[in-house]
Amino acid sequence: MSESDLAIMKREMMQSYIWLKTADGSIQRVEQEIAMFFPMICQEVVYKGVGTSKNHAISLPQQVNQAVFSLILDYCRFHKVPGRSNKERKSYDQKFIRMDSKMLRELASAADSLQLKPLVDLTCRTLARTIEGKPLEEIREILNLPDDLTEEEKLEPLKNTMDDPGIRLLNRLNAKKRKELKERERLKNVEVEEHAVERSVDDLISFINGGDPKVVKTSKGKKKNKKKKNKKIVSSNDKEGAEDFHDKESHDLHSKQQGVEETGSGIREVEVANLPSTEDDIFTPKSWSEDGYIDDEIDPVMKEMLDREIEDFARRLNSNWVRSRGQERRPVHFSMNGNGTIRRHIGYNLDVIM
Amino acid sequence: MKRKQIDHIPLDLLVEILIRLPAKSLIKFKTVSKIWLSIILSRVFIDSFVSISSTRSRFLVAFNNGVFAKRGEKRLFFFSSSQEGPESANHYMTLRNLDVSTLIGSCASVHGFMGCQISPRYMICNPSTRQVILLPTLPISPERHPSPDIRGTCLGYDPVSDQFKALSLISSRLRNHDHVEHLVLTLKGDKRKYSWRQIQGNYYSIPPYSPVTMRVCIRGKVYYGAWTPKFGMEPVIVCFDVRSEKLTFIKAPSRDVLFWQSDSLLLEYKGKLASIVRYPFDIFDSFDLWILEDVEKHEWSKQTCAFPLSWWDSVSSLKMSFPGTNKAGELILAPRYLDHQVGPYYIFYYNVETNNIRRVRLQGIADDEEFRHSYGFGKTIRESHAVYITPEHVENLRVL
Repeated sequence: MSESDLAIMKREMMQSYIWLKTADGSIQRVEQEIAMFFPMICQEVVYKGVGTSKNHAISLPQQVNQAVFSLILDYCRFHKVPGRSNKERKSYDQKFIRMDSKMLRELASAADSLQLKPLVDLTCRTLARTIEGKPLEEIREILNLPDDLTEEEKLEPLKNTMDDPGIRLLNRLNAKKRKELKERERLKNVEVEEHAVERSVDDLISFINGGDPKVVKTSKGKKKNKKKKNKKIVSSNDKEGAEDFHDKESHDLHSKQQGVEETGSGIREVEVANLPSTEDDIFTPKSWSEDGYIDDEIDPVMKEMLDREIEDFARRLNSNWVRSRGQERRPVHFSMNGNGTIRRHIGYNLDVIM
Repeated sequence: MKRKQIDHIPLDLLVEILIRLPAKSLIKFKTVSKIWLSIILSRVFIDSFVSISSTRSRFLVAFNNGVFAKRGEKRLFFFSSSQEGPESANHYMTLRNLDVSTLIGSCASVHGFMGCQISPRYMICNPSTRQVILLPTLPISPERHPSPDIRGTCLGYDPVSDQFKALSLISSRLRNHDHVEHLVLTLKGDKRKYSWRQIQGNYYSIPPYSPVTMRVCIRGKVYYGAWTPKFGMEPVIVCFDVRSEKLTFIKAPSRDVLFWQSDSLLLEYKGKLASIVRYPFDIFDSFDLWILEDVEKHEWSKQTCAFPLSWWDSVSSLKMSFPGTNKAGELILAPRYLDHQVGPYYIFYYNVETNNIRRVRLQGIADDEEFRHSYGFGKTIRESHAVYITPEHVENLRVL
């Protein structure tokens, strides 16, 4: 053995180690100065005198398994060296934090249980940044959360202190949605019986004009209306690009320059506004777009529910043309152009029921 | 989807994550799950969020789309902007159809809440939660006060009792009495029961005075400049303690502090009240900075700061507001009005020690042609768009 080897060996023998046992049973030997970073371990060593030998290894909290622990050790080993500049530390942190969100979650959990504040800060900051702009469902996935709010709770009415027409309409829409939810529950029981009814839209028109059984008509009518709403909301979501604000901007442009055909549904809105049904108010682009009250609060939730409704309706009609989002606009087109009175009828019937 | 018990994030870790999110996301995330809803609504979380938010404060920028816009098209925009750029400003909210009368500088946010005079009422809004509260109308008082006396309402916050109060100065309702009457409204409890009440000792223990400057709220006290007993006589700074609702009069260091009336400047400088004395209507090459060093002893300090004349060539507007200071102690200068032409919006940091000025661009403040056009900016040549900036805006999730 060379001189340097001997020196290293000597150093190793003089350095004391703490024995730690991770959650999955593996026993590790960690240099004392690193181990003392963890307040919890400090306490155990000082007050209980454990950890000094393999048989008396300190058990780490259950969130700390071997993989995570080695990551944490790397982190501590890097940062404990005093000579590093802030820039170095920051760039190390940036590289260190690059891992999938599941791992990140475990790391945050482990750091929290070991009370390692700087690492908790780093991981939580990164997790916060990850979820910041994401839709709600994705957040639930990343963080493993149950979706346990009832539909009703999600649609709680906003307080309308300024008597803002936008909020008033939003609350109305929510109330309507809640009613519809209840209706849907009720109808589900009814529809189970008449499930296999497949009608083309032509049949539908003749039904309505012929004044046939109300239940079928109105449920279809309602679905059509909901679908109409879907189009509007779906198209507004389409533009959910950079900033919310620009979405509203473009909606404003629509209302002002009615000739502009950016999505096609823009023009529909204007025409609908002339019809005297309760839906009309809700479709006025202005009330949706400008305040930002509405877009932010309701988009993801509504979108999910309405997406489901679209699928329902599509299935029931057994239509081939309702395949992709882009094509979904046609049913709207149809109901408008086919006969102005169709819409009126539907709206009217809806009023009667509700 | 089965979620194993061990995979759930512990509650305190969840709080650590949530507390690092911006207010806008948190409002949206209330519908993620029951736990999140209860966390975000809990008082403890709200309080910690506010304290963390004050360490990473941003600018609150408010501006309107024009004084001459038609009633249905008036908009008041609220944006949050970082203090050093370069990221674009985030839109908080837009208020519609409001007639924001030109303010005497009381459009600064106080602990996250902003107060604006919407004649004849006063409105308080929180851009983070988008809550808007209209205060009840003030009792009618005969308009006997001489101009340029400025009576009106402002918002104050007391950190000790964590309470917001609105202070209103109106002309006294007593006959033959030209004093100022002080009305206070505490923003607590049921909004329908909000009412104005007089402060104690309203008529006899408070000497007559004529308030002439903007109001500023610093650390639980509202300050404004006034002449006492009548206009043009003795200059004082009136200090209203939000908690005790008592008034004290601090002798102003010089008449210059009040000389420009509504154009006089009061601001917060490193946690203290300060006044900047400069010529408001044209370029200036120096200004005086008066700082109230000791509130109890009424001691002021003065610094005369040189101002580079050449700097004026680089700005298009001569009217500058001094919203306050940033954390490093640099004075902020911001153009009072948006440019008529579409262009970038700059703010300037003046370093009192080195007399240097550096420029920072705030992105997203009506610097987009499409934005301006769709909201009807600058429709007439006389149009002006005033910009109000709060330098240390705190995101407060509190719902009053």
